[in-house]
Order: sequence, then structure tokens, then C-alpha cells
Amino acid sequence: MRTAGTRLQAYLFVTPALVVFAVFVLYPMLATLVLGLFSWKAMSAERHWVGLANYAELLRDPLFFLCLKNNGLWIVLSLVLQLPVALLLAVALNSRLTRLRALRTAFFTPFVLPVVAAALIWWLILEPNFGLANALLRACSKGLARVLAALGVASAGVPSHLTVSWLGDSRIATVTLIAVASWKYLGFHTVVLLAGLQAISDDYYDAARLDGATGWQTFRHVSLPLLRRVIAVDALLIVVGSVKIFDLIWVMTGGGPYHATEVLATYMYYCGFTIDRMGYSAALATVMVVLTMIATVVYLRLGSLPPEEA
Amino acid sequence: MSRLGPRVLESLLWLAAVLFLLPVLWAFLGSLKPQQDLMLRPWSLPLQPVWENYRAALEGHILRYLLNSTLITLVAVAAMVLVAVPAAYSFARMPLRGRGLLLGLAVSGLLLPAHAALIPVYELSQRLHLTDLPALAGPYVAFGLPLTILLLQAYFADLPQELIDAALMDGASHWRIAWQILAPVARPAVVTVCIFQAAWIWNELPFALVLIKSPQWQTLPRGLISFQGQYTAEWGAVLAGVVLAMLPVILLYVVFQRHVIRGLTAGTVR
Repeated sequence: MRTAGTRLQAYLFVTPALVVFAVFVLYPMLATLVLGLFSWKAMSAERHWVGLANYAELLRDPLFFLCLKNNGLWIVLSLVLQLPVALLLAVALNSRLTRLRALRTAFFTPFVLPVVAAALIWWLILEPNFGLANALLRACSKGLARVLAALGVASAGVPSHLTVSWLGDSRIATVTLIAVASWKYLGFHTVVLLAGLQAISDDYYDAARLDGATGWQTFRHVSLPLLRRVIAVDALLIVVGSVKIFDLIWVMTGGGPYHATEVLATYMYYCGFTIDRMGYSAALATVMVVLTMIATVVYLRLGSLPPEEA
Repeated sequence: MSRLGPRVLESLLWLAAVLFLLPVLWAFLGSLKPQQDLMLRPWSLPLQPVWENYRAALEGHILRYLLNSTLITLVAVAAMVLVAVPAAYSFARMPLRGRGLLLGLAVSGLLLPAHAALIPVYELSQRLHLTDLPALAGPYVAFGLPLTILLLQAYFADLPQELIDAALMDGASHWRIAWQILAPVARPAVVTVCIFQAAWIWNELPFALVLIKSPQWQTLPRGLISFQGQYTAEWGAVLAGVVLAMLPVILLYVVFQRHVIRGLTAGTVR
């Protein structure tokens, strides 16, 4: 059956996909690597070869290091905030009860919402003067002051007009954004880990029960080891997501205040499309490509794809 | 205790779920409240719901944005399936030389950020005088292809050879086998990747930011951001826009829960 005709056909079948991929992914990606070696503005045809000057500038640019630091913070805090809670939820929800399936649906909901819509809701909730978050804080501090007064303790230390500038205070804005992202993505990671848990054969649990293992022992010595690969893949997705993070920041702070929440993706956009430094922007994009490529290699090592593709 | 434990746990989980969904609930209720109540009495319920916020949202062209996003999503996903199915068939079932290299290419595109292609794609569209939705179609299809082809070809590869041999005996062409035999059998996988890619396109922002020039062709994410700028002080209008943007997605999610969950987690758990 393997005639020359089928060989040719095999190529014809992949050609359209290959062309689209080449034009809109492969060529642009390679072009980005090359463009990082030039200096130019979007609207002019003039392009200056600057060699590695853009990269040399990156190494002197405090904002670039701030981006790296913020992306690093995104990675670490997202892992810390999302993985353990998602694992806990997954274990709690790992049951055949329909009622619990409704809970899974509920926790997955924020992930389904359009990112920009979710970001706008939180943008309003976190607004310092009229937002829900500070209203809640004020109510709490008022309550606390009342309790202290009732107890006869001086309540001078409790601020009556507590106003936290969640997104406007450069010290906490990034952490606020990461918290919102964790709300958005927790359900996703829960479902991923839950699917991993449900793939574990009942035989293991039966054996553990026969050995008289407690719930914790079963989790620690049966579920956790068998879940290692799924947890690793999930953690990797959190890392990649944190390297690529853009939308939420763009909507809620735009990288501000004063670049405090800038990450690689927002800074790349800012350099290219706000201050029109295309070459520098391309160099930043190249850094992102390198980081995600490293992640892809790790992803393949984890064997999440069929062996023949790895 | 052993009977009480699970009950307590379940109640706690329900409580957590309600708190978790509180922001969404607040948005729904808030969209029905007049501006003053929304800002000064954030906890109050909309006892006399008002619809003026929705009128503002509609005047802000939110329906137009929804329509634009629906259009580009349908077109891009359909085009993607059209080129991905033959490619996946070729990968899995035909004597394709250089298969390893091509698979490597697909894999390298799996986790790539849009930002990697943003500047050259922007330039390309400038040069071709493409803007708005036609300019978005190319990158939207292309960025969805790697995962789609990898998932479909894995599915196709697992199907029994007899299925294909029998059809070949009957004189069916590979094209017909791909579309009329394998694709229907692989429908669960096709639905899964379509949902995944549709969700990606529905939310995509960077390409939409640089490629859309005309206000009337803004996609939903872009449109909502314009909205944010336009109605900064009118929270009710912003919330009404947000609710209208969420509504179709939530409805689809409620109806097709299982598919949606499987689709959105595609590529992580096989």
C-alpha cells in the first residue's frame, strides 16, 4: 500500500497545517530572535543593526530585573497558593457522590469565566474607596474596635478608616494580582489533580485498607507517590502560566503603579507598542521564548505525551 | 465521629464554594443596583432591580463585541479542524517521511507565548494591509494547531488498523477515510480540542490588542477593556457589561459541564 502516491499524499495532507504554522508561528518566532538584534520604530522602514546591544541594555535595565523578580514571585507564590490547596480540594472531592460533583462544578467556575470579565470584577472589588474588599476591612475593624471597647481595652490602635490600596500600593500590588489569579486558576488545578486521583486503581486503596492504613497514611503512601507525575505536570503548567502571565495584569494595573507590577509579557508589550522600541521588545520576547522552551523540554521529560513523541 | 466527620467536611466545602463564587454573585447583583447603592452600600441586595446599567452596556456595543468574538471563534476553530484532521491523519496513519521533525515542530509550539510572535505578526499584517478579524484568523488558527494535531494524531494512532484496511479494500481514498471514518470515531477528542481552542480564542488579548484597529470590530476582551476606560466611574455599566460577557459562557458551562471541564483541561491529562 506504500506507493509513491500515498507518500506524496501524506505530504499533501500536512501541507495546509504546515503552511499556516510556518507563517504565523515558526517564521514570527524566528523573526523575533533576529529582530532582537536590531533597533527600529514600527512606522519607519529604517532598521539599524545593533548586534547584542539590546541584550547588553537588558542587563543594565532595572525594569528588566524587576520583571524577572515579579515573574519569579508569580511562579513561587502561585505554586505555594495553588498546589497545596488544589491537592487538598481534590482529595476532599474525590468521591462518587453527585453532591460533590456539584462542588467541583462550583470551584471550576472562575476558570471558565472570561479572563477580562473576571479581572474587571476584581478591579472593582479592590477599588480603594468604594470597593467590597475595603468595605469588608472597615466593617471588621469597626467590629474589632467595638469588641475592644466593650472589654474596656483602649481601641486607639485600631484604625477606623482602614483603606488598603490593593492595586495602587507598589509593595502589595503584585501579591494582590497573584491572589486574584489563584482564585481564577485554583479550580483548574483541582480538576487536573482530581482526574489524576481518579485514575488510581481502587486495588491500591483496598490493599491499604486491608493493611489497616489510616486516611493520612493512605494519602501519604498510596495517593501521593502515584500522583507524582500529575503533580509535576500541573506544577509545570503553573510555572509556564506564570512566565506568560499578561491579561490579568494588563486589565487590573497595566503594569503600574510606576511599573511595579510589570512582568516580561507586559514590559515586552510596553516597549514595543507603547514607547515604540521594537528591537528591545523583540529581545524581551526572545527571553520569554527561551524560558518557555526550557519548560517545554521539562514537559516532555515528564512524559506527559505519548513516548513516541517525546 | 466517623459519621459526623464527612458531614462537617462537606458543609465546610459548600461554605468555601459559596465564598469562592461571591465575587461572581456580587457582579450579578451589582449590575442590577443603581450607582449610588453600588458604591455606598456594597452589601445591599437589589430589592428594586434597575435595568439602566444594561441599557448603558448595550449602548456600549457589548452585543457587537459578543458577536465579533463568536464570529472569529467559530471561523478560526472550523478552519483549524479543517487543516488539523488531515494533518493528524497523515501523522498517525500514512507513510510520512520527516514525521519526527514535524512532530518536533508541533511540540515546540505547544507552550509558546503569543508574545513570541507578536511583533512579526503585527508587521506582516501591516504589510498585507490586514486588520481586525481577518488579521486575527491566521494567528488564532496557527497557535491552536500544535495541541490539536498532537491530540488528534494520538487518538487516530490508537484506532484499530482494520478500520482503515477495510475502507481501503472498498476503494475509499485516504481523504474520505480521514473525514468519514476516523474523524467521526474521534469525535470526543475533536470536541475536546475545539472547546479548548474556542476558550483560548474567546479570551485572547495580546493579538487582539495589536491587530484590531476599528472600534466596531473589537473582540470581547478588547471591547471590555474599552468599556473599562469609557465607564470608569459607572460601575453599574461595567458590571452589566461583565455579566453580559459572562452569561453565554456560564450557560454553556452549565449545560455541557463534562465536555467543558474535559475540554479546558485538554493537554494535561490524557
